[in-house]
Amino acid sequence: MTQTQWAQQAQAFIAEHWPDPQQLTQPGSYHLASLRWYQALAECGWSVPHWALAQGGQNWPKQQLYQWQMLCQQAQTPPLNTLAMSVVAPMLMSYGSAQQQASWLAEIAGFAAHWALALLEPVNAQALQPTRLQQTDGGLVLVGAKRAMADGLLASTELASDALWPRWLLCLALDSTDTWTACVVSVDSPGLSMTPVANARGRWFHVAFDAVAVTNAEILPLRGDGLLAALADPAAGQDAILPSASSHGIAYQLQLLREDLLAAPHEDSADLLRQLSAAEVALQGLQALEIRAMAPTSAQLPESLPISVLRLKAEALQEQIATLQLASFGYYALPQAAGLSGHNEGPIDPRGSAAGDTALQTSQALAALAASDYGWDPRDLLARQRLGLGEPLVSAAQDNGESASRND
Amino acid sequence: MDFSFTEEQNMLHESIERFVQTDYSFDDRQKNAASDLGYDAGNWNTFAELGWLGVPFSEADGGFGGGAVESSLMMEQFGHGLVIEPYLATVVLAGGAIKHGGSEAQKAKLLPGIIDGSTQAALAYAEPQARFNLADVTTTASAEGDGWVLNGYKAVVLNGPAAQMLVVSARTSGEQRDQDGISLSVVDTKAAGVSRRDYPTVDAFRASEVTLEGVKVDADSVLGEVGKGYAVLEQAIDEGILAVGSEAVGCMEKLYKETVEYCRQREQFGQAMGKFQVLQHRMVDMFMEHEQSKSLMFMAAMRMDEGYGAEAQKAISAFKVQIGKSGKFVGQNAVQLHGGMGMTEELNIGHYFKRLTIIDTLFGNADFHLKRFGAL
Repeated sequence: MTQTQWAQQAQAFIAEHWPDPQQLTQPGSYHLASLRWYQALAECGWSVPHWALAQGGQNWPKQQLYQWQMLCQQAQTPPLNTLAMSVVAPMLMSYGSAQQQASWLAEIAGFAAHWALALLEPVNAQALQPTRLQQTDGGLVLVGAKRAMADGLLASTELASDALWPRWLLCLALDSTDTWTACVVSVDSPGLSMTPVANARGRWFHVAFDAVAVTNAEILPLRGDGLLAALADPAAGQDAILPSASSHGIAYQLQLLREDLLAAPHEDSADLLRQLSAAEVALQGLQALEIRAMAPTSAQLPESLPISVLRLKAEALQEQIATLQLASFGYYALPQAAGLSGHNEGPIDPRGSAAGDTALQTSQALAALAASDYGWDPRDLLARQRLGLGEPLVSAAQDNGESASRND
Repeated sequence: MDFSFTEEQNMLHESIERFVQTDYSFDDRQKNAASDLGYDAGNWNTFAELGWLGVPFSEADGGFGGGAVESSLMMEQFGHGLVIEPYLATVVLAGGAIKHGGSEAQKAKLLPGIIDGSTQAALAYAEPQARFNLADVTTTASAEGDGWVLNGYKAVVLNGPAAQMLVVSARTSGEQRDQDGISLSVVDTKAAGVSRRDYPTVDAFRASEVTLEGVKVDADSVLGEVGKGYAVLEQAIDEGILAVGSEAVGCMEKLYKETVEYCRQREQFGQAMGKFQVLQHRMVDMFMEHEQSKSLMFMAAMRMDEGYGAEAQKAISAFKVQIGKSGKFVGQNAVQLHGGMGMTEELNIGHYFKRLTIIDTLFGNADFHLKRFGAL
């Protein structure tokens, strides 16, 4: 199949399984369309096209994956990559046992269950001790507390809250030899309790482990520093991560923002348009980085560009856009989206916006202005892997076993 | 768009990289910059012998047949070595104006000297009042007999002291800032009425203030159609932006790598500086700025090779904005992480910093190009 034929097939798939966004204005319609979309992706193996054939994927080359993402973003489909696909699955593929891969990879590829990452310690814990994996007479047990981030990509405000509940936790803990260990725990395990935590970015839970039993089959074989490095950047060293094409979504955001600024000019429009131009320059930069990440190595490009570079740049640009959005909304940056969900009177801002309700955009902008996805800074990994700078120094307090599990 | 390279491009890259690494030491560079000529004539001859001076010219004109990608690959390597030889002024700017504006006869007459290294040239386009506006031209070219008479003043003419040939922008019609009515003429620097005031620039290059008083040129010295020189000038300057931007990419790579190496060796508080997380993050940010700039360099070069127009101009301005921002960030942080010695004359760091600072100003700074980007 030629590249053109494949692109036509992909476009036909999208057209068949994802409606025009203009048709999704009725309450519940987006959610229903999303469910059908994910089901269609899972049925034909296009949910994880970057995975190997043996693992249920399509083994598409990077260029094709990039084009696929671009087509999906142009059609405004729901996001392609879940937290489980981008973090858990690469860990399992690289470091999991055959049994672990068999247990969870197919489920992840099929969007069959939500996952949460229980990596971080709560800042308000009663004792500033990391979660422990203890050996008892009855076997291994988890003891402690975590802040877990759950998959939010499949979430919709129209979903019932129980539909968003994670089924599995990937939990980081110190074992009896003070070695970092990761295990997969069912949220239904006796002794485990979860409470939602309000957060400006993503969906977070407070998780308490009161002697939660863990079997050896649930513990990842990879431990210690190697585990931490793999968690910090699951893309490092393997291709199980869907390469980013976030510039296409961002380009659309900027286009809408430009339309808004030109439609209702005001005293500060010229300055905002200038800032918008700066964001558009940054967008060109992100596009160039994305193309570069897909390019083969050569004398000029002896090393592939790490995916974390794209992530850092995309996050910085989202932050830039969020700041610009809030500035352009003026006083209409104040209404809270959550407070409007109970009625059907439409947006508060009477001026209207090309991108829809400004209150919802404000909510998304606040999320973009908040911290990075997992609480990890990819710069730590880039410093080690690309600049050869070694492990950073940590304070004496952190050195006491808490450094790798940062407080949120 | 595809960032992959041909075998010829890889070979060109490797040969220049080898030259800069093995035959172009910082000490020699400083010695040559301080010489009367301001660069090494031997190096210039080597460039000619290796065919580098003909890279951007077509094979029909006696060149290598390269495009924007080849030029940027060369200039990036020149940036690594902080090369002082006037490649930008002679080949890219003056040669570019002749390449785009000249007739076949003019190219046959003027380009061989540039390609074989026997002719030094300069593009005299800037004027004191014009800031970065290429169309703001008060120098006049008045018809007289079969030729033209030039009168006016040209500012900061790069490579002016060494140039035997100037390509001068002058107004043949229209108002001071009209794009229409600008003509480009080739002027012999020894012609009657041409006078110069030469000086070094802060980044160790050479430039001149050039006064033209009743300078007579033949009709066939005008490049292209009379009054239509602005488009030629703009294209030559955009190629110049790609060249200096690529040089800046090379400078940034050198700076961030030397800073990383320094921080791995230098100890503070009983530890190598590179172990401190806050400094690691700063160096990663320098690395990111370099990678961002390099990616935009490829994009701008490939857009230029696809065809010169609004898309290429936009990519060039985006690149220049990024270079201004990134060059400042990388340069400042390299100096700060090296401490006070970062700006000493004997250490190369301060010299790269000065070159990056000047590159931001050349051909319009980041603010100017952000405005141009928004208007395109």
